[in-house]
Amino acid sequence: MNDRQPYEFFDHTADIGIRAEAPTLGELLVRMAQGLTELLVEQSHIEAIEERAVRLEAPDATSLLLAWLKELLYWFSAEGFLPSRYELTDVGPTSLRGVVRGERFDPQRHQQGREVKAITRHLLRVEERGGRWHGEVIVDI
Amino acid sequence: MVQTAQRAWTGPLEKLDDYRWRIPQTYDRGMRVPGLIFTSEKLLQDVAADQSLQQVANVAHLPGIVKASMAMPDIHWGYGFPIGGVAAVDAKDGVISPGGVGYDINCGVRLVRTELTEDQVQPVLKALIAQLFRDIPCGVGMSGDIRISRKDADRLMRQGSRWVIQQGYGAPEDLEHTESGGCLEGADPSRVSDRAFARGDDQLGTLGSGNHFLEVQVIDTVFQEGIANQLGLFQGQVTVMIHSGSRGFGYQICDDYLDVTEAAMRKYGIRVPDRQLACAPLSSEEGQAYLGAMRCAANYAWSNRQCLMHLARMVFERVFQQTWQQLGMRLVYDVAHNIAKFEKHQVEGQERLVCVHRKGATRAFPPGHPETPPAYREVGQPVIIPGDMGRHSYVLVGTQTAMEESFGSCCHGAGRVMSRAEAVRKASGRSIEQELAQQGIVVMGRGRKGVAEEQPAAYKDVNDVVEVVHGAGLARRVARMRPLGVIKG
Repeated sequence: MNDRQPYEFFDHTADIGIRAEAPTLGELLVRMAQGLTELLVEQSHIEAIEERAVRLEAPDATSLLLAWLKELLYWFSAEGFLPSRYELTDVGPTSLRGVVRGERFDPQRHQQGREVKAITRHLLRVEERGGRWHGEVIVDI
Repeated sequence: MVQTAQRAWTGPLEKLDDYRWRIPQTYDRGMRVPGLIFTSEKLLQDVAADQSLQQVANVAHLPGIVKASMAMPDIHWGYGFPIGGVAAVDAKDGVISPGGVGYDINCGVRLVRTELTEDQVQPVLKALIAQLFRDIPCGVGMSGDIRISRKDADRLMRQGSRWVIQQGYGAPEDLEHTESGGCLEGADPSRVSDRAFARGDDQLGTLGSGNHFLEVQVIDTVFQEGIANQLGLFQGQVTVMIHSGSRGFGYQICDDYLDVTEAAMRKYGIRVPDRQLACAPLSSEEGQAYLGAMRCAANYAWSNRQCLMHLARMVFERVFQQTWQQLGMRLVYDVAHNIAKFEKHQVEGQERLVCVHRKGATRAFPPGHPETPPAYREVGQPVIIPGDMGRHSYVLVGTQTAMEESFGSCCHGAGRVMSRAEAVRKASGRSIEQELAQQGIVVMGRGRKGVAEEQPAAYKDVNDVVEVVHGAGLARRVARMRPLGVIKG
């Protein structure tokens, strides 16, 4: 994996994992979000016409990734919101703040991918190694 | 896509007979009971290749667990609990684990019979499946036409199928043929988060995606004619099977309570080998809260399948120009396969109230049991086992053996053997829809990859799975159905 290939998927018997690495934690969170979005709507084009503020706190970086992806999944599942641009301004291992832009799901324009039921804690991992951030998560399909 | 390393099982496994294997309690000091796996030599090979047997052993650590941590022949690797797992805990001293129910609370199956035969349906099959596909919301991001206000949601959560039938989605007779009458008592809407409401308010009467489906089938084999007659089933008869659950509402409740129970474990000093076995004492505030919320989701799921059945009946009425009653579209039975319920069972020679977690397992109560509906009391509770979309599904009935050995439980389906990525790779350059069409099966799905991921080869052969539960005596085969047409999310 490198910075050109922002994330990859991996197998888990009944479900799918998303793995990414990035120079910063903020960038890692964005890449994981892009992976989640691809699962939902494949590589559909998403306009950045609606803006949402996000502010999360968590005890550690791993829990922060979980909280972040759960937030995005909730936005999609309850309101059909799909993210496309991220401006995460304050990102630390225990908190993040920023703005996400995107648009509502439209079955005429967006492909239907998989229904992600939940972001699981199974094999969930975030770590900093050799100056880069690595993360893995498995989503329940 | 990259493969994850899967560690094969290297622990002890004792063969008891052709259908039963045991993980001795001595395998791990923390195990309170042994593990018991219902399987066969053939199916065991796949099972032993991943972590699912370790998960059976892990579940045996749960406080209050009685008799054994069990697994059905369709077992596969889950989160914390294996899928295909059954665990009963003492109602007083035991714990409740959201992971032992799963994200899709009361995911389940219902089977509707018709008086139609295959030759009456074949000429209009494509139009029928297309109409079902149009009228039944399915797939990612699709909402239903049935909207519920917060006040209505309260009634739905407390009353389940009964409430949606009062709103016109079905007939009171449907309740008798739904497990628990389509309603668990003790549902407590105050335990449900606003997020769960928000995810659920437009998903009633939607099928969902993944392995959920609605299938038009024909009975191709009758194993027990007398019992089939009692269930209103006959060779050549067309049936409709619906597989769905509590949708975003239930997923959110599970997720919310994984957090609550994880905190509860620290509070009550409960130690288990896997974080995802998070649990809380049944008697605790946290345990009671989860039970109250889980029952809301269970009632939502029964209501959802009830609405889906109603939509299917309306499509049949339109296509065949007769009422659903004239078409004989009676509900055979509806079973839950992700649920926790309080039931009385014999444990060490004494009747005890236990909380049975069925995670990818179906209740299989015997003839004469008070919860077996009156119409089926002589033959046993119907057990509906969906296959995959290219192969068979089954109707079985529960037995006394299941009552004595597995807390009145048996398998729930085929069980995956191939990952989604592997399935898509194997399908590359092929059209699964066309291959199934060549077998005469009409498939309509929303997602491009969905159908490939759910292809028949991705699953164990349901015939092998059913062979084990029948052979072990947990349920008796009654009839087998072959798919004619399927809609998928």
